[in-house]
Amino acid sequence: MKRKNENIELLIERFLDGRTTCAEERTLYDYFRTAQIPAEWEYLREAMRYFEHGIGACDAGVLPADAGGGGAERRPARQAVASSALRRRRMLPAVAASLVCTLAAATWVLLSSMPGGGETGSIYDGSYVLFDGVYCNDVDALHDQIDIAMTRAEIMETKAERLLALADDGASGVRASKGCKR
Amino acid sequence: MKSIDCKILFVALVAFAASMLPETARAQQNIDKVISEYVEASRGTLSYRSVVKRNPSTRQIAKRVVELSVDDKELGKQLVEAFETDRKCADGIECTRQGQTYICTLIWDDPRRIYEITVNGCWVAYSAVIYY
Repeated sequence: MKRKNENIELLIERFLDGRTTCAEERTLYDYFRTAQIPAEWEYLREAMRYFEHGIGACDAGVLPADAGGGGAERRPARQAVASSALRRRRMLPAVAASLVCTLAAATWVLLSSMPGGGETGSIYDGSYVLFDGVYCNDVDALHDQIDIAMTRAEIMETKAERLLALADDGASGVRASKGCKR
Repeated sequence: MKSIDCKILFVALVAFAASMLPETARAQQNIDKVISEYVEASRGTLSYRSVVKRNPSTRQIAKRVVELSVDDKELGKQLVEAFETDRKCADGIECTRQGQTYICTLIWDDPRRIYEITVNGCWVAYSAVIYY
């Protein structure tokens, strides 16, 4: 069975290149008339049926029964359908690749939209430290530095709230404490 | 002649646009300018920390916390001048000066920006919390 499929595959290649003899084509037509063919060749079933019943140049005497495709004139219609079939076959990897890319992109978008879950690396990206000429932007390594900075920020924010509340009260002299010149 | 006219027009437009900036956009520029120039020029001798916190959903920067500490009398002087200049436009102020120690906090609201400085002799400690 495997050997037969290999032969058929070879014939299909020759057929699509327009190099098959009439006897080889009949072999293909007989094969594609059967119900059980590999799924990857299903798309060729219609094309084979077309050539078997459509042009029939072998029977019409255009080509000798056992002539090779080399010296004989090519059949334009078969070439068009063969090209279409060949294009479809060649498109399969491209279609598969684009499906994979679409799935990957959708997964990336989905993961990006999810909350950071408290991971330091995600919401603190872009942080860095410069100390004694050494630059470090590895967020995982800067965990302690980030904690210190965020604690400092909380203290400053509390102070800011207090000062803004005082400013909003509009009490005289609240904008500057003792010793500060205006 | 035509190219000169275009250049003059461009410069005039830029100057006009700059003059139309809201005061808050210009107010912190003195402080920001001093810090950014100093960090750029003095990488070998300072301790500088810039921490950003992003919005988990949008990944946009929501807050930046900057801290700088260095032993530099000249920087201290420049920062004190910058703070004293920018405080005129601040929404909240708290400044104290005792002997060689100068501590000042300036706050701008909407968007909120908090600047704090401590200068003690040659020692300078600067912190800023900037919201986006």
